[in-house]
Amino acid sequence: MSRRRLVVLSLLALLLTALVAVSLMTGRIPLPLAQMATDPSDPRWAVLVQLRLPRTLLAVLIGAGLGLSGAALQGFTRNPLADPGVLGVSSAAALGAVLTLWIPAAAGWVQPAAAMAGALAGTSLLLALAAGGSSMTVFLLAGVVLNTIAGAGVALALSLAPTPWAVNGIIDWLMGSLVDRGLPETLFAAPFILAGLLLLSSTGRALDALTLGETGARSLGVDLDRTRIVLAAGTALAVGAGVAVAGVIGFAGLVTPHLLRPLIGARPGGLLWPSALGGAVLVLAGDLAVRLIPSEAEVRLGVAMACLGGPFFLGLLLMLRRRLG
Amino acid sequence: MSRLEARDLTLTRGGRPVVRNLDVTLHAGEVTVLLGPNGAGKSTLLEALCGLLRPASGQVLLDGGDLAALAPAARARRIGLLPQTHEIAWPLEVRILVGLGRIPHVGARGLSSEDARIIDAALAGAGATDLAGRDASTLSGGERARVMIARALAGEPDWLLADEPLAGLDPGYQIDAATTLSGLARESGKGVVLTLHDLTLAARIADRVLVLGDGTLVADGPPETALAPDVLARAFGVRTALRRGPEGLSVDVLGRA
Repeated sequence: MSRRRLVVLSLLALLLTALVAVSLMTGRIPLPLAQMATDPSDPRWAVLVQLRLPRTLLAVLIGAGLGLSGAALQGFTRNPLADPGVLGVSSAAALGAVLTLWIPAAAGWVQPAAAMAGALAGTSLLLALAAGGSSMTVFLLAGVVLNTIAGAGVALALSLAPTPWAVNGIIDWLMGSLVDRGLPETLFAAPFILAGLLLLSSTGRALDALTLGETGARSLGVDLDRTRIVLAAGTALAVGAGVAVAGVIGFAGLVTPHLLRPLIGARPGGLLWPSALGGAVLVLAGDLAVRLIPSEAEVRLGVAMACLGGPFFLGLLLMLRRRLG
Repeated sequence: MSRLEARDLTLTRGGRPVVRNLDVTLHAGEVTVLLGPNGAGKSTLLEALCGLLRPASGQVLLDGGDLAALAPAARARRIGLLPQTHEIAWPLEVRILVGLGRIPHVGARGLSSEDARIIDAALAGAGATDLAGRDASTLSGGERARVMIARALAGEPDWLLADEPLAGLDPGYQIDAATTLSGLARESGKGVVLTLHDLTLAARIADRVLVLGDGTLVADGPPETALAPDVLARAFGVRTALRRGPEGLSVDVLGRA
């Protein structure tokens, strides 16, 4: 590992730790730890452990999943615009979750499982299209179409929603929020996201080799079919589980690798873990921001991330237009 | 000595047969040059010989064993491929790019100091030492070709299969790269298989020339016989003269046959 990458990784870890500390201490109810420490039955402990801690952990996990899957998708497709949000994987997950509202008395696991299934279907479709040397244009178009179809499906579900509750639930998924996500949701999503992170991070060498194109990578002994399956499963777990709990949060996956490349170089395998940390930093910072913005109702995290990420994406397109043209 | 064999090999591309019922045995320690007109199946044959293209029928054997039975990483350690298109998707430092050639050997671990030494040697062998610190996306076509040769050398395969490795190189670098590749065969005893378009270059570098035409072997032998005017007339449809000078063989293309 290069020294530069080690320095950046350490700085990101430090930054993330600091943000976690700030996040635990930020909210409507002040938490004077010194005072609370003398009384274990202080009700404010519940605020810390059952509200702030799960929300913070969830932001870190979801951000890591988005950052890592964005870096891995960009590496696999050799396409700097790839990202689970842009390519419709998050929307496909949301559609999967929304459709379960029509299942009467569905068990608790059905909805998250459907979100992951939606993400898996979306990712598999995209990666299948990316195989065999289809052009960047075909791939991006496929992502746009997937995003449109899934978005239309969710909109249709919204207009046919069985109950007003369902309408609220659907809007929650569309906008992405960590408000009132408690310990049970966090404990449910964590293993899936962690498994997704591990799967995605195992593709590093294959992604490095893909710098030389598909033939080049295969001549170096990379099994592309296996890589594709691991990547689809990892993205489905990391992004699908996140969407199931917090809804669609965009742009962290797209932006993070771009912010890191100038700092640590463009080797795709080397970007994976730094992007996980970077994504966690971005989403946690975004969630902190929506908590700190003084407003009547909290601005939704997905909306805030899109407000920040949208202009960045536009700038990226402007920079890349010569290459895409 | 290691040998690489095609046995009754038929290859198809998009359902169309490209190579038909080919039988040939290649030997390590020799430079084998594959010649043939555009679309004769040279690149397709190279891909099959390094195990990336599944034969429609027949087999590729490495030292008598079926190549298709080898695990991808094991195969990659034995047979390296230098593709014709030099795709470099990301702006990597040249040294890191050349280091990608070590992937079949290192797996998930990082590069050791021994790997670093091999990468240095590969850069030197391809005449690319001065490019080591450059951003690969800023290289010219010829510089890129040298870096990709270094990348292939870094894998230290027993067999190096290179598709047009000398295209786009200046005459000086062409001689350097040709010397490196032939040294690999004659001094280090590796198997070297090249496709080339330049007939004189083929005549100078090859121990053995295979001429492919329409999916079958038109000629197989030392340059003196395989580059004879009647062979080239049949394969390429051109009139040629094979001359022997003090510097070795040369092929002059005189016109359409």
